[in-house]
Amino acid sequence: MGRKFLGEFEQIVLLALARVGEGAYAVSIHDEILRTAGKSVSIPAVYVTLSRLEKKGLVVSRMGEPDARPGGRAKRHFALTQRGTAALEQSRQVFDRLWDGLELVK
Amino acid sequence: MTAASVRPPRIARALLGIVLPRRDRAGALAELDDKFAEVVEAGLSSPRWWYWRQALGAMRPGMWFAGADRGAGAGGLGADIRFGIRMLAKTPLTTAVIVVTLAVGLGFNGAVFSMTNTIVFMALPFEDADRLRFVDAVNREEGAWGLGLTYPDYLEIAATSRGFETAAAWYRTNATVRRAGDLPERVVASYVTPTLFDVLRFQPSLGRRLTDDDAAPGAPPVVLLGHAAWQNRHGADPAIVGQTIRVQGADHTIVGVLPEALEDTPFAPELWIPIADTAELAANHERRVYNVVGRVTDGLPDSQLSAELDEISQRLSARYPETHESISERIQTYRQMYSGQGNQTIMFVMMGAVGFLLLIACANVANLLISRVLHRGREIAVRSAMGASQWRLVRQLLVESLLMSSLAAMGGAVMAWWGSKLLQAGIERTGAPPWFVFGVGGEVYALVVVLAFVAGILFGFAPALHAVRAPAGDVLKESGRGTTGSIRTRRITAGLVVVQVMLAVILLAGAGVMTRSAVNVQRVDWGLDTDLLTVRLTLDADRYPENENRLDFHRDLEQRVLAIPGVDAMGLTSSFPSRGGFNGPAELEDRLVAEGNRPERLSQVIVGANYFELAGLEPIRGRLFHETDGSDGTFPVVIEQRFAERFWPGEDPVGKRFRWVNEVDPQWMTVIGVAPRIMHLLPMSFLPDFPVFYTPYPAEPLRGMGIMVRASTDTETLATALREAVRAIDPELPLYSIEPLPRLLEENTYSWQVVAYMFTMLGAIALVLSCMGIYAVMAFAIGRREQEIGVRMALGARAPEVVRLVMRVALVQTGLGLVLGLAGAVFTTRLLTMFMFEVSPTDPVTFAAAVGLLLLSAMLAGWAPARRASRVDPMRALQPD
Repeated sequence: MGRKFLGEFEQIVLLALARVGEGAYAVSIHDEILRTAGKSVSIPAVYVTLSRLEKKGLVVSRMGEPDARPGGRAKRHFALTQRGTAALEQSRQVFDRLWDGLELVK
Repeated sequence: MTAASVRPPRIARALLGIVLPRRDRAGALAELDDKFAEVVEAGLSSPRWWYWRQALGAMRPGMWFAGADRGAGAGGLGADIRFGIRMLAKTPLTTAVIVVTLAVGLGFNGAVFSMTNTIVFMALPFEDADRLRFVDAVNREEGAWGLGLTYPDYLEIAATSRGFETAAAWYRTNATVRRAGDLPERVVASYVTPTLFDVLRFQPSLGRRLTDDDAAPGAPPVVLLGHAAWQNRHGADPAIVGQTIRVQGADHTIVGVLPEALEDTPFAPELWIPIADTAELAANHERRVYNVVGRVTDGLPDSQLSAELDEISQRLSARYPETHESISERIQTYRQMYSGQGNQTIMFVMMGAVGFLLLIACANVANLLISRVLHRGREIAVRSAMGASQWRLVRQLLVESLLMSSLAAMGGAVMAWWGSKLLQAGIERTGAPPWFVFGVGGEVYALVVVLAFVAGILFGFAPALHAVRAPAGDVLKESGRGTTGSIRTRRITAGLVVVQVMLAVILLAGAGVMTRSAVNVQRVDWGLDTDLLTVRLTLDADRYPENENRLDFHRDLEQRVLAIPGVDAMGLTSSFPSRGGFNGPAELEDRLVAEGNRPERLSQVIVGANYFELAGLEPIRGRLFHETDGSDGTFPVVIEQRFAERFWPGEDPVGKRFRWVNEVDPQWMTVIGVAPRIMHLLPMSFLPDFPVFYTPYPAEPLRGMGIMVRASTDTETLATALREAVRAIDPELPLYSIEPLPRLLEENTYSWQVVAYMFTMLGAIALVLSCMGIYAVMAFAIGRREQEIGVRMALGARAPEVVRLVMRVALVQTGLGLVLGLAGAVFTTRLLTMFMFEVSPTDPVTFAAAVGLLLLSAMLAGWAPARRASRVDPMRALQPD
């Protein structure tokens, strides 16, 4: 699909995913973003983004065990792939280099 | 609020359900629900609001489609528009059809909206006009509201009502007005209490308002002029205040001019004259002509005011039992009082009809848009495979839809303007109140634009979404010519055709019924040769105080009129055909009310002896009037045939007697003859149609009468001669309302023509649109089945078979639509019964015609594509694409 850059929201989701680590799913990623970055994002938006990222091969998902309580459902757990990690790294490099030496706020 | 009882807001959830991509929908919603439960348990203050924020956060177009490359951005919009214009121009016919269809639907809705806007939202141009309430009365035995109040009633209300801050009374009547050196004229004047200025809260534009002093008995006579009267009759003279004008024979001083704002209200007359607050007036409990309006105390609910009025009403009934026994009063808002039952219903009917048209138009447009989009499916698939994001593709299609909508909106605006002018012209001739003015204001155009926008999005978005999300691989694999669309799409288009046909049948049935009514009304037999000239004149009380004076006048007039060259006959009457007579309750001698019988409602027409000759009526029984009837103290009456048949079937009515029941000292009236029927009122279901009887003029010489003249000269000459004849007897007497009888009759029947015309127009358009819809769907479906047709033909099927095969589809859809439409039509024509004339709501002729017409049109519409299909060269059809 020919993008060269990760979208901003995609980056945020991927980073949070990396932070949460094992067993990450939409709600835990949302909570991580809220806790660490102070931004309240839309859970459906997170979910759809993860789904897309999976299509692009940057993450993989698996269905987990159903919740212990009655009517509990199986959550969809995501994890970064190598390509995903590489994409994040690449984004970071681009930003780091552009920011380097820049003093915008006095 | 326990955790379990708080549920996610349904609307937000539904919205998410619509916009989220199908694959992710369940998962995303489930995750959100889980968090929602957590949030509720954690005691967040407004969990539902949190949910909404979450939902709105997902409402970015980037979310809806794959490949959110927002970097591509706004610069693309211009390209989209240019591209869109090119694409629209490529298929000019389809584009034009879509635009025109939408424009027509929108335009008509706009026009009818301007009408309903005026009628439903009528408001008075006064300060705090919603605090105004009108009072009218009803005679509970007769059951009709709309009676006026007496002057003492008004005084009682004004004095004792706490709910009304101020109250005023007024009534409209005709008055003879004469400026120095001019001919006398009949104008409409309002007699008002000075408090009307307080109630309505306005100031005159010139001069001063009326004060209580002006209403005191013996005060110098004054008037105020209406704005239009001041402009038209007095040349907008700025020095008008202080001049004198002769009203009802007495000189009055003009003390002011009323503002222009009053012109579009029920208070608009030529003149305002203060009611002289005399002791006699305050004691007159019989004259029930006054309208009462009051300004309600701030914050007082209608229920309280009503209750108070009931109290007052009972008090009055107890105090004046003879005149007030069955009278009750009620309050009404401006709209309730003045919009009239018939008007409101016809409004809703028209809105319904026009709404149907819009639906048909939209169904058509949807169909066309769907097929457009599907035809471009391959183009879309290719672009998608080459990297265009779904959002870009959808945006492109949306832009095209909106371009068409914009054009349709412009066309619709023009049609709305033109349509409302047409409506206005139609309504004007029906005698609607003069303050019904349909402005096509901002709201109407706004409505058209909004509807166009909504239609564009609605009908552009869904097919676009669908087309763009179709898996590109599948589309590209298609080997047939054109694209198929999924089964769901085909069902949708078929469904749209069925809906269109159904609505068209209903509209056509309605049109048929209304048209037949209109034709019947045209053909009504009025009972007499209507080639007559009608004139009204009123003898004023001062100069014609006694019966003798009036009889002398009319005798003199008759002589002079008959002497006019060319005049064959003339007749004196209190009411012209189509205007109805004087109605009231009466009792027959052999069925007295005192013995427990219900009073009968009758209609009285006062005529001179010459009336029957003019109308060419021969007595069926007994005799008609002589010159002397009624002048010797007796009360002979002539009844119409219906009267005799209804009350005395099989008997000889001559010699029977009856009398009014609501008069102080009613006289017995004796039947001396039976006359054939003259249509005094059209027998409509919502108009009272009471049996008519004639009384001789000398018995009850009213001052206001009319004459009808049959002559062989033209109207102009005749009118002039009549004026001369009157002037020769009395130079101060104005003739007014000189009109040929057919014009008068037309005024009362014009509304049928207008409604029938509108319905027929709508029906015709609906027919055309439905045919277009059928044609489009057929052509599309056939294109799809070319391969199949090719195979059949290669296997030996011949052209007629193919045609039949293809037509079957069209017929099935049409047939279904027809059946549903018939059921719907039976239901909806019942709503129109109020306006139908001598037509049954399930008139078989109309229904058969509607069905037949649609069937025929559908077959024609389907035939052309079918024939084309049968001409398909099997070899070409079978070749791979």
